[in-house]
Amino acid sequence: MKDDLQKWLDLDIELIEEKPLTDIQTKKIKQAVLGVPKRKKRRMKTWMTVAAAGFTIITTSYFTLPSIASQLPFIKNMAPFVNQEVLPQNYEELAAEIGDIQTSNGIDMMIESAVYDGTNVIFMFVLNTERDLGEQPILGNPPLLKKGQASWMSSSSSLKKIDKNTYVGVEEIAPHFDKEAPQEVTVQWNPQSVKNREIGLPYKGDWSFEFKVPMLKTTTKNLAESSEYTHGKLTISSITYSDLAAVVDYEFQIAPAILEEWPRSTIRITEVTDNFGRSHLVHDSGGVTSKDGHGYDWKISIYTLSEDITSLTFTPVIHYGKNSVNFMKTEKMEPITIQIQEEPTN
Amino acid sequence: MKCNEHNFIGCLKKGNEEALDFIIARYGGLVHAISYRILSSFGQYAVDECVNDVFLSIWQNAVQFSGEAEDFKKWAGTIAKFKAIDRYRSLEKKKTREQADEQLEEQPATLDIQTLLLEKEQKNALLLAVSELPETDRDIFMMKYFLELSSQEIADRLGMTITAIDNRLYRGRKKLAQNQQLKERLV
Repeated sequence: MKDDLQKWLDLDIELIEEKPLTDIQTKKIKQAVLGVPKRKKRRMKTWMTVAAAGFTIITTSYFTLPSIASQLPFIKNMAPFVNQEVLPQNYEELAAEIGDIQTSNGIDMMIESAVYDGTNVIFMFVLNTERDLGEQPILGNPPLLKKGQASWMSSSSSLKKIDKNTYVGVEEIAPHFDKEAPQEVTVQWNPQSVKNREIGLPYKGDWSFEFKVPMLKTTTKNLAESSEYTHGKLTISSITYSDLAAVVDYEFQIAPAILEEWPRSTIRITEVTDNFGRSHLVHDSGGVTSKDGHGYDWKISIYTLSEDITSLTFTPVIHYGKNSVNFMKTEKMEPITIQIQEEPTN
Repeated sequence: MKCNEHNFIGCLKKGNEEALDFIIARYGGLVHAISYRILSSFGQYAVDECVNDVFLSIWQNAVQFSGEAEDFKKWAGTIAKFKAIDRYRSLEKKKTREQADEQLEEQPATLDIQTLLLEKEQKNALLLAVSELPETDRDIFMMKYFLELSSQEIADRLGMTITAIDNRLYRGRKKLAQNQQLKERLV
């Protein structure tokens, strides 16, 4: 600390290499200085879509389901239909019941429940229809947070047939906020169409949902653990815990030599194991990378951490890219192990 | 009136928003680089908050700046440097406190009795006033009042005697006391 202090005091303003601001940072400065509330015209931008995870059917045998909206709820307790890796294990007990249903073009659509931990907004929904939507229908539009609530977001979606007339789906939104996460978010969703991907037939409809989801209680542990690589530097900044998930916030700086050849490279954390050697599925929320190779606001969520875990090992992977869309190649980097709590003394 | 490199200081003092755009475009990269160098271990959020705070200080205190366009870069850079160091120290303290909480053990901070604890606004006023002092005096004041180092520590760092440090602090305090906001604190 003292050495750092001296180094910083001696920092020569004339010699330091400038670090360009992004457009978002520039806007934030102006907001901070002029006290302007968030602009209405802020654009929602999907930066990166997290790979949609598949569903597993556990049982479909004994459900009989009414076909019209008036016979609500047409299905309750959908969680067993969803692969437990997709849905956090505590989802059912934490999620707020929504129960909003709409019918359009012969398809009933109901938002069953939703949960939000400051990083992930997850909700379950069910479709009920006589129409043939195929085994894994696709919805037209992803859900968004109400305008102005997030600076940008990514999302993933899963929808799966569970019996003749019923389909169960999960939508996950990973919003990125300008400042601290709000205590409540408003989800807006106009799916617009449901498409049977096998026969390529879309059914249009005017379902339109808007519902609020309160934030779960969270605690954040600052870690600021950095690791230097020839590829650059990776910093695990913090872990935020809720009863739903553990969210790891990280940053990176790609080395100049790599940037020269691969100007749009990123570092992603793809594997997490704990001190017992168990592997945990990583849910990637994406992040921002500036032109100078500085990645920030990158987050991953882990749904399966238990209280007895004392350390986590993260395996970063560098994605070499020439542009923001296509990654030319990837390479695993040396894993980094971080103590997340003290070892038990006995 | 269009702001450019010749008139932006005047524009800034009048509160012209175009001048704000101009200084963000011209000096944003410098302020960001300094903040990042010092605060990156606390994450980009801390860096961005510092950058915002630096520009807010410049905007609110532009009338205090006296000098030419070429001096402005140094002024902005100095504010960024010390704001970032100050923020680093408070984040470090917070981190230490959090750790202490976890261990269920509280350790009171050790305070140099000569150290003046300045409220945030006074810190701002001091920072801006001090940035007008000659370089050595400025560093001494920063170490004393911002970084809360003792005269002995400052003397060690700068290779000077304690008496020389105290003399410079005394002379500097008299000079800074012309600023009403700082008078009661420093004299």
